[in-house]
Amino acid sequence: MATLTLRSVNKRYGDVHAVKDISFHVGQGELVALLGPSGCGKTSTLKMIAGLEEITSGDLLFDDRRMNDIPPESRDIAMVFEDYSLYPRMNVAQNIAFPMRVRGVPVRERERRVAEMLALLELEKVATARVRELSGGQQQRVSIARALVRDPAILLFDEPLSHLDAELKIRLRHEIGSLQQQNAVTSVLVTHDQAEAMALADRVAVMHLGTLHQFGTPEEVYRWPSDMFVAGFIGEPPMNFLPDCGFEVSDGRVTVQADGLDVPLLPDQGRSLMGSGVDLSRRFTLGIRPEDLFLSSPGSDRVCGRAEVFFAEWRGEYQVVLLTQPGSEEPWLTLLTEESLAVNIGDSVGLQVDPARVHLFDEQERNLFVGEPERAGTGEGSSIDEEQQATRTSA
Amino acid sequence: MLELKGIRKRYGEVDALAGIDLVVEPGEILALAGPSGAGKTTTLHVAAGILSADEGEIRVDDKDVGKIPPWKRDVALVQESYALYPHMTVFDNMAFPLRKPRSGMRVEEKEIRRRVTEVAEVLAMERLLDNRIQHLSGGQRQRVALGRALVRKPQLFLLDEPISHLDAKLRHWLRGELRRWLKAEGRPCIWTTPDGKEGLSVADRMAVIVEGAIVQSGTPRDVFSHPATVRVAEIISEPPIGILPGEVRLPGPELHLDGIPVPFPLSIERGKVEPGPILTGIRARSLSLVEDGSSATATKAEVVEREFTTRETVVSVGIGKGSVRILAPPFSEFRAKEQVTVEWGGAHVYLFHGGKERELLCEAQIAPAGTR
Repeated sequence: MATLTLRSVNKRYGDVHAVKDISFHVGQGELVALLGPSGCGKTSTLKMIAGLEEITSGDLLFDDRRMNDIPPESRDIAMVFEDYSLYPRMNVAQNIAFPMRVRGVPVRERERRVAEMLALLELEKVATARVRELSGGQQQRVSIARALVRDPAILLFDEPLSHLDAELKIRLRHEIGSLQQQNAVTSVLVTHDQAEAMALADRVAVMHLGTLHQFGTPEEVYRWPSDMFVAGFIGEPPMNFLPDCGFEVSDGRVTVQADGLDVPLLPDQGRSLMGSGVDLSRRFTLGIRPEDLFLSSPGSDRVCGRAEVFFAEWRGEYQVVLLTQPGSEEPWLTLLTEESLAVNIGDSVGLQVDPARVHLFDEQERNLFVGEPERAGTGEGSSIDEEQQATRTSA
Repeated sequence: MLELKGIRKRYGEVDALAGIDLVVEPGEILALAGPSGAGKTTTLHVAAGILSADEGEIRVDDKDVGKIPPWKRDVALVQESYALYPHMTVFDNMAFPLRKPRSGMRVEEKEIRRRVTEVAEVLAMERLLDNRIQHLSGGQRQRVALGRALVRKPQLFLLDEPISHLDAKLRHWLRGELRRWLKAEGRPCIWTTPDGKEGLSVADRMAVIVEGAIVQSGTPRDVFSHPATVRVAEIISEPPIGILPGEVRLPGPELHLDGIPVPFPLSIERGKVEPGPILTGIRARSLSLVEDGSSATATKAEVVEREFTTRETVVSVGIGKGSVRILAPPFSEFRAKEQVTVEWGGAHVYLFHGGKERELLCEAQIAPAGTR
């Protein structure tokens, strides 16, 4: 087991700058997820760690040892691939034993380790089956067993779940989580699926167009996204963005004015904004997560705006409500609410927002509120009724 | 109305469809949900007439259509593979069924333009109409395939995983748009999906298919609240439902779970159960973690792993040889092998038959803490 450090790592393919000056650290037994859409540089980064791509500039360290010039076979890395990459002519047990055979591990030791892996991944019953007779989920389990059997310094997962059906994906995700957390294997996971990254990672590296936008715990990238890209990429359904917002300041209180929605900020939010030197005459983008937007209770005087229900999806344990502006057919806002609330298409509804949880982005798409993670839940009180707070936790 | 009666389809020794019975009313969306290989696509192909069944009957508006060739059936089938014309533009692909109508009815070019534009708006594709298919992404192609089905006024809509390749944001809006469109068309629709959650959110009625047979059909709420078998419960539950072996004993009845030293008194809410071995299904919402020593119906257990979602922390806890999942507040940290205390009192449980079919026997509540 080792730690992993990248220091100012770059990758160029001719004129294409695929990975731009990336630095992060993976501690002993931690799992870091490289998350982003296709073309973000996550796979190139993984390949450089594995030694399958040369590093154009920067340092790659395992513990304190620089690895840039060490060939892949000497790096003590195991990899789990999207397409499983098993040996089709071998049976399950032979596939798992293969990396040990190559290294000349004695037969008895090999058999013991294979038996251990078969039990760990619940593959005993198919030990002698050929891999092509197995389902996708079983094949991926074999590939994980083959990676773990070597007890590698670092384990790399390249989109391990993307080929699987929804149900199986979630089940195998729990299994990967349990193997990784129980055995504390230092791991890097490449994925485009934010739910997968949030579920499994100790830290998430959010990447876009070769740049590392944010490196933080799942809670940090969710609650305090550094910019609009991270904010929009993390969370399901995605964050609502209301562009072209202005501010109104009266009696020292700041209200964000969006088209169709006015959100009064908490006093300390307003103060920090006014004291931050940001030019409030510019236009900003307001970001509100679907889970931080509420249907107002009847008679509430804290309505921030009105909308019409376009569609309500019942998802078993919660509902997703899609809203338009009154009289419009254009998508506007998405809201999450408890499953038992009666919501009908065409209903006119009032909206409430928890100001402690809104995000404001400047023209460079930077989050103005980041850098003060203490603000959530600080003192002066959220303007949401208590029963609405309860709605959030049950959603 | 679409009716499939006793549809069987065999490939060699394998029963791909083992007697499918389905009724879909006009204007109704039936979600056909099940894992890959269960027979979803085969069912659609039989309903469309592009695959013949070995046995059974297909009726549309009370007429047997089994002998009618597929091109005369007026069915809009959206295939998972899209089957688009790569050299044509988006507009021409979508207009194709109107220009070469199989019914022989001519549609005016002006009307074609009106319908294609209207559908393109619904699918958020107005700006792509002049693009060629080969320049589109997978998700865009999927929308063109959908568009080609929607421009027609067919007797039947058969949609094979129609939104599986779209990104999250578009998927949300399209589920809404598609549902509204299909409701307005007032024709029967079958919508297949491997994702139980998607089935719940789009369906008027949902049918769960496993190994070529419909295991359960009903409203989404019904299927979610009262899953007919362990398999159905697994397909529609997220986080995954915990399934623990156990035994029901009299008097009581009492629930004895493997790996738990104390029995739990049960109050049966629905169905009935005989004494004997059973499988217990427990959803993540049913259990909670409490302080040690706070309750007589709480037991100690070890954390297997934790997962974050943005709404909650899902803690997997080992019970005997199995595990259950329990919800905790978002972003609470748990370490593997950490000891926690699980409160069983008040938990809603499903009791399934322990035999091969694993069907639901009853739903029950473990007596709330303090009532023992």
